[in-house]
Amino acid sequence: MSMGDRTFSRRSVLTGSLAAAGTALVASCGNSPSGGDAQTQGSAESGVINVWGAITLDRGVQELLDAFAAKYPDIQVNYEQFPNNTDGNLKLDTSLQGGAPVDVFFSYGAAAVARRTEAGYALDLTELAQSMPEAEPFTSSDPQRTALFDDKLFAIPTVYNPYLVYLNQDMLDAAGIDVPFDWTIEEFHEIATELTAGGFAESATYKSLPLAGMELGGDSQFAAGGESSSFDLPIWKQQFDLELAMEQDGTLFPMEQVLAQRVDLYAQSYFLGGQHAFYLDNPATLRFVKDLENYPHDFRTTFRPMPYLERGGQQWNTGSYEDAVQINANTSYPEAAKTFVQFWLQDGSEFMQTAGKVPSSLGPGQGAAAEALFPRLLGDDYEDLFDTDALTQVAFADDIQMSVTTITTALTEIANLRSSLTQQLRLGEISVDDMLGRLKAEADAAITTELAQG
Amino acid sequence: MAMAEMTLSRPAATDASAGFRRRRRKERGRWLLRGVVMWALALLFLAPFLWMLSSSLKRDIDVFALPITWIPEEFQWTNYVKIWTGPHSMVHYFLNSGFVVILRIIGEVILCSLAGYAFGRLRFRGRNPLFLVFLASSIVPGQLLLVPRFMFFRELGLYDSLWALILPALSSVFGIFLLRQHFASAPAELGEAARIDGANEFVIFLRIYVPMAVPIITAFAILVFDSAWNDYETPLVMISSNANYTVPLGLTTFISDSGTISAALSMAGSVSSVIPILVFFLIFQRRFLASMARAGLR
Amino acid sequence: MTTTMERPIVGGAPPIKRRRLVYGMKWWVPWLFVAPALLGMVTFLLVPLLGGLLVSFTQWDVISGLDGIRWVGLDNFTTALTDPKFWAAAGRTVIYAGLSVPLTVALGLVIALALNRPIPGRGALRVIFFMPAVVNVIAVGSVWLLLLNPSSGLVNQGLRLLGWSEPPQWIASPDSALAALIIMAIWGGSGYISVIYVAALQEMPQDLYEAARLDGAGAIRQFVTITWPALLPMTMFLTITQLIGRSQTFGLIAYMTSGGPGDSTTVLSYYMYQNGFMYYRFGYAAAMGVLSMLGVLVMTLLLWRYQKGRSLYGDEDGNG
Repeated sequence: MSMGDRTFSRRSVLTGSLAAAGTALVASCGNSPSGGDAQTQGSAESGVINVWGAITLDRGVQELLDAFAAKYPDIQVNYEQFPNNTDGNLKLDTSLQGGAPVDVFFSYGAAAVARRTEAGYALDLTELAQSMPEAEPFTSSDPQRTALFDDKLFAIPTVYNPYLVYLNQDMLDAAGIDVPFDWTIEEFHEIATELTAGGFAESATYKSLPLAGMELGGDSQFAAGGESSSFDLPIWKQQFDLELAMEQDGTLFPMEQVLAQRVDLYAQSYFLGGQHAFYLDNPATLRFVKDLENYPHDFRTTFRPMPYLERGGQQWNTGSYEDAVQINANTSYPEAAKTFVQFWLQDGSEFMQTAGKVPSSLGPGQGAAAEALFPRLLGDDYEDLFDTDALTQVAFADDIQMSVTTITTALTEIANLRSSLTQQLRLGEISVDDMLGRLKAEADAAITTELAQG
Repeated sequence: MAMAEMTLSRPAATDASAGFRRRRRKERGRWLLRGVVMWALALLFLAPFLWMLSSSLKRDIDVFALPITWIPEEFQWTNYVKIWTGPHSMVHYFLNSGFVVILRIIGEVILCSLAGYAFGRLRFRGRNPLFLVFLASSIVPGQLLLVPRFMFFRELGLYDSLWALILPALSSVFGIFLLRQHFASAPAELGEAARIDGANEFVIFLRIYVPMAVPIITAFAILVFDSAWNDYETPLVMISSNANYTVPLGLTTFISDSGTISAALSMAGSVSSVIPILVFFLIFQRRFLASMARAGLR
Repeated sequence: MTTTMERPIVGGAPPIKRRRLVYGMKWWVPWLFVAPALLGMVTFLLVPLLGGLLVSFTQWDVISGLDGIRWVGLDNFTTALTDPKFWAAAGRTVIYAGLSVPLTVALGLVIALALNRPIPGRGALRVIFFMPAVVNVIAVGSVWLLLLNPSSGLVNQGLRLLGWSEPPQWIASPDSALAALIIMAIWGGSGYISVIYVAALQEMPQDLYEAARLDGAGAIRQFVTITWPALLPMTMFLTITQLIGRSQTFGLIAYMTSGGPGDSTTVLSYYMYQNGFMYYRFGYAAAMGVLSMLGVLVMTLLLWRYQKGRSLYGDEDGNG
């Protein structure tokens, strides 16, 4: 680094350095991500792999890694935990782009899967998936399973995440309310009103109902063809009318509180603290329910399906198969990486159950198999804490139709627009019509911009 | 402390005239009023720290509980145990931050003294335009640099290493400016005398001017400590693996994978992150504030 | 080489005294001193800046690497200039920086004036006012989230106690979120400002005040005629540096409000972040960065000119 022995021409020093810098920049730009021509090393039994996932080590990952190390002592695994938020995901993206060692990575949500796959960082996993009964269903074109790219599978979901309603059974008993399994959205709102008006709950629920997703499925935000948004459809008005009504009658947790406390980050506390009657989420929340140390509570949690748009009607479950595992196309150890992915999906899945992860090998109609998971999924006291019959019946119902998102254009921007406008709607700044008008216009603009860039 | 000053500021009023006494009383009244107002304001400034401490000893579920409790019924020391042990122990965040702080202090002091001396004490062609370029660089918004820096660092193999936090900070515009101002006002005669005696420029710098600059260099070092310890935005982009997290980044790990946050743990982490620099500040506060003032004055 | 006295940059340092040429010093010696810092700046600032400038003329999502980069000329700039959200964000930046900086400087000055007089517990007060300056943004943001909670937060509990039955909702309302951030900025910054002012006040020549007192000037008059003019250059300097810093505020906003509620705290730096890091439109984000840099440049030059015109001691003053 010493500059001591260099001489400079008096005037050109600055311009010279700039030129040099420019050259350096241009030279630095030689790297192409889509290479995939990395030298292959290791084997199915040996290698060094870096795994990026969002689940923390204390939630089953450490045990999984230990078990893997015992079975494959010659594969060294470095687990890199990244927070599943903008910065965490950007870090993974930049690491992929920058050629930092990433061999196996998890993508959460369709947008992340699509972005990384389209940029060429994902290895084709079709063959691998076909070789495993656990993953084989994802290679079919079953629209309930997962999205394929060019008929190939680049990401294998590891978790079955149907959307459920968690209910406080003791609160319902105290109010003398019996919630039917085929309840409708009107009944949902009525029961919510009864519970809050009767003083049984401070608010009935943290989240409102995703009516559009229930009616339209995973691509509910897009008009057919994906070239514009669908916010002019009546179902969206219905959804936001309901959300606003619930905000105003106090059945929905007030937006003001959501914003003030960053409640989005720990909404389950209110349900588990006994303040809320319902909690709408996938099975991930099971781990909080069983965590009596951090969430001490003595009520029993029961479950119901998401309320029906129409009693007896068929509708989408807004949950999907998630936590997709991918292998970096540029990995030096593709065989070892495949071994790891296979292990995660097979032997490893039991360790993830303690974290509330129902393996993706299960699905609708498989309640019988699911019961074997209860001790891990629900903890030792599960008989007291959970209405397990209801859980089996709800989470593994035959009629569940899982959502699949296939259009990912401007998905993040639309989500931001929606959240910003929903905040304004619920704070009473704008009306539903204003909101949907703006949402439609701005989402369409975002989609157009994105498509123009594609 | 208040009592001590009160007695000190009250001179023996033996043969005071009535007018003098009146003035004294007025003085005393003002003194008291100022004290009340400023201490009330100070309490407002202090409250966030006390609340941070209080919340860090509560159960998560009690952090938002009403009515407000300043002193938790039962101190949850386990919050601290949790963040200092376990998978995301703060220990290695502290070690990483410590490493960055030390190297940044050493590096910035050396680079900025050298450059500051040249800009303030030596004359050469292009000096002022060059200095202006340095000054102007402080208006470049960080976000504009992030991605190109990131690309460039990756090429240099510095991405996701603590060096990515150290090297770009070394030629600190603020430091160069500060030291340039100092050296420019240092007496020229000493250097010239040495020069006539045949000493070379570097010796003059090191033996004559640097010793005179020790207070300002200390001030600068303290400011570097502050900025290096608290830097959040650079590591946010440049550091990817948890093993290289510095303290502010480590604090965000209390947001777990599914997006849940522990308010109590994050407060315990916050308290822990503030303690080293606060202790340092309290011990050296005279020096610290004097240095800060000097830094600002120049 | 001439020996004419050279004007100091930014009205800053005491001018270098007129002196004889330094004989025997090779022309390149000063460059040796500057070289390490210069190398650092070129490598880590100018090169990335050049890169950023280049990117601002392109369309680029980063993740597709340099193969995916596309030259679009001035498109990003025209898009920005016709993007109402860009202007709204710029406006919020102006409000945020334009209010928080003068208020911070003013409170800092008030604290300094008070601490410059006899006061019980002066040492402790100085420490307390300065403490916020040593806390990282995550700790600051986390604790203020608790404090500003509309119902259970300490701030509103206090305001209700004082009789304000419906205090602001702070970061829970688009009407007050920016105000909350401004209050936090004042809390965080005025102690630092006051320390610098205290030092300046202590260097003030006391005989001026004596003379003023003999002329019967009261405290306010003394401040207006003596203290304020003497502090003006430093006030300007503090204002300029604080404005530059505040207009780039990002981490705190990202952590606390994510630009909301609505878009009420989406300042320019956060809007850039959204476009770049969330939507992967790095070209557009870079173009906005260039525009915001130009804005800050213009503002700095204007304030600098203003200060030069107004300063009591003109260029001679060492306001640093």
